[in-house]
Amino acid sequence: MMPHLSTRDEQLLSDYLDGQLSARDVAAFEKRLRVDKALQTAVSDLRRLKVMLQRVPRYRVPRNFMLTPAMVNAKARRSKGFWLPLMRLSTAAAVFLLAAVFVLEGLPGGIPALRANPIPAAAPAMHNLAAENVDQANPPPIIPRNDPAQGHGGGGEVPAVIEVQPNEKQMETQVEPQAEPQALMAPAAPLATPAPALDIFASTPAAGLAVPPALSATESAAPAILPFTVESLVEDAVPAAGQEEDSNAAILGIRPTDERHMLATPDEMAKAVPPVPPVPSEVVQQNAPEEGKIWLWIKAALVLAALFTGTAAVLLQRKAKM
Amino acid sequence: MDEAALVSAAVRGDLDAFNRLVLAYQGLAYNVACRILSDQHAAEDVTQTAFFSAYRNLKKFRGGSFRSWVMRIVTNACYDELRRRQRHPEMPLEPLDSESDEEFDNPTWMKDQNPGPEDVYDQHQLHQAVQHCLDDLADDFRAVVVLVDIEGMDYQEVSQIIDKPLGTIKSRLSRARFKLKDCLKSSWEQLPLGLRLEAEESV
Repeated sequence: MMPHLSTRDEQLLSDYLDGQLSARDVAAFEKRLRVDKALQTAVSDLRRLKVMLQRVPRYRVPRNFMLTPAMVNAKARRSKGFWLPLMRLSTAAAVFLLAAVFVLEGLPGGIPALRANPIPAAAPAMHNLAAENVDQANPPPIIPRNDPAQGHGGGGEVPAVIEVQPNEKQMETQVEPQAEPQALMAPAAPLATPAPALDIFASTPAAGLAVPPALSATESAAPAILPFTVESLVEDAVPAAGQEEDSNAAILGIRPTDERHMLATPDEMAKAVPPVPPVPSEVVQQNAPEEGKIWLWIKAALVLAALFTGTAAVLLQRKAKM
Repeated sequence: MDEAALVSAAVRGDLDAFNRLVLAYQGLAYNVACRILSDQHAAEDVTQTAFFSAYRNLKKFRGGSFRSWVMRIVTNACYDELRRRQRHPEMPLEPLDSESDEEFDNPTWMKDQNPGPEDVYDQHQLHQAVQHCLDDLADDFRAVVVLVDIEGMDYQEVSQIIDKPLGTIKSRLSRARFKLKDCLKSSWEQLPLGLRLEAEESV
């Protein structure tokens, strides 16, 4: 059995037979060839092979491979198609949009249009401030001045008898500023049957406030009749400049207004109105997760679109090649 | 019209000029495809595809040997077909019989249209033996030995066709030759005597 030649000797032998060796390499190889039997056998085998390969019969061309105009046009039309370019364009667009989303997401403010509307701060509860500081058990009846059943409003004489049920508690409690002014003009509670008392009302514009002899609620349950006119009520409601020290004097159980025509002092209002609770941080932070979800959905949709159109483009391209 | 003029006309869109180039090289292209693919029907499709691809990409021809450029397209098309076969292996509906009478009655592999009976037999035997040993080679080695030893191209041209360095071509060729030698030596005794004697005399 002939010894197997090394890869280098096989290469040398092949180059030698093809005339690819330099003159010096040829001389060295032939010197070896004279003494190496295995090399001699290999050289003769390789030469025989080359002869055989050159004599291998050639195939006859079965037909003419020339191109026709119809073939060229049909192939060109088929290769262009419609779906393949569309899928390629869609893939490119999806990838571009995905890149744009990543870039925009990295911006400090993101896309303003995608920010969720901030949840408004919790509005302070609207308390019925008027009800909180009014004695529900003994609310003072309020008789509108313009009630025709009660008399004539505005200036002038007040022929009707105005009856008031004094409420000792109301003389000291605060009146809420939110108490609507109309409430003062609301239909009053039914008039109590007037006690048999003197009609001491006189249509004198100069009549001032007079403390009825039976004003004290502890002494009499009968309604007291205050000898005062509408003008005096107005004057007392809006105290003159020199009467500021009496501005807080209660009239009809309701404290008169201050200079701003408010029913209570600012301190009283501050005490009455509860402080607005701060918006909890959870409400402020609620916007961030909403925005993140939108980004996630957009990115997922773009990735799916790119994968689908890219796969379709590859399949269409393979089909076009076949 | 020489080849350079035909190529220039074909690049400008002259289909007739391109077809004259096809006529000149279709035999070489078809034979190379047959030897690499070992399938005449597949070689026919690959050859047609390769020429159509060459026509579409004429503008990419940058000069030099048009034959090398076309053969590169043909070789790449053969590689594509071989890869496609590996992905989708096909089973023939009928078993191929190398000793079938049809091969002798219709020797399509014979270029010579008027062979004698003995010549037909000898050529058939040689063809069968060589193709059998070629099929045992790897695709890259097979292409090199077909282009150099069967089609008679030089190393430089084959280097351009295969798009590999000259040293790679030499290395692949030497390894392919020794593999073929070992394969054919086993069936050397079955080869016709006349063929063997002729080969011995050439040595």
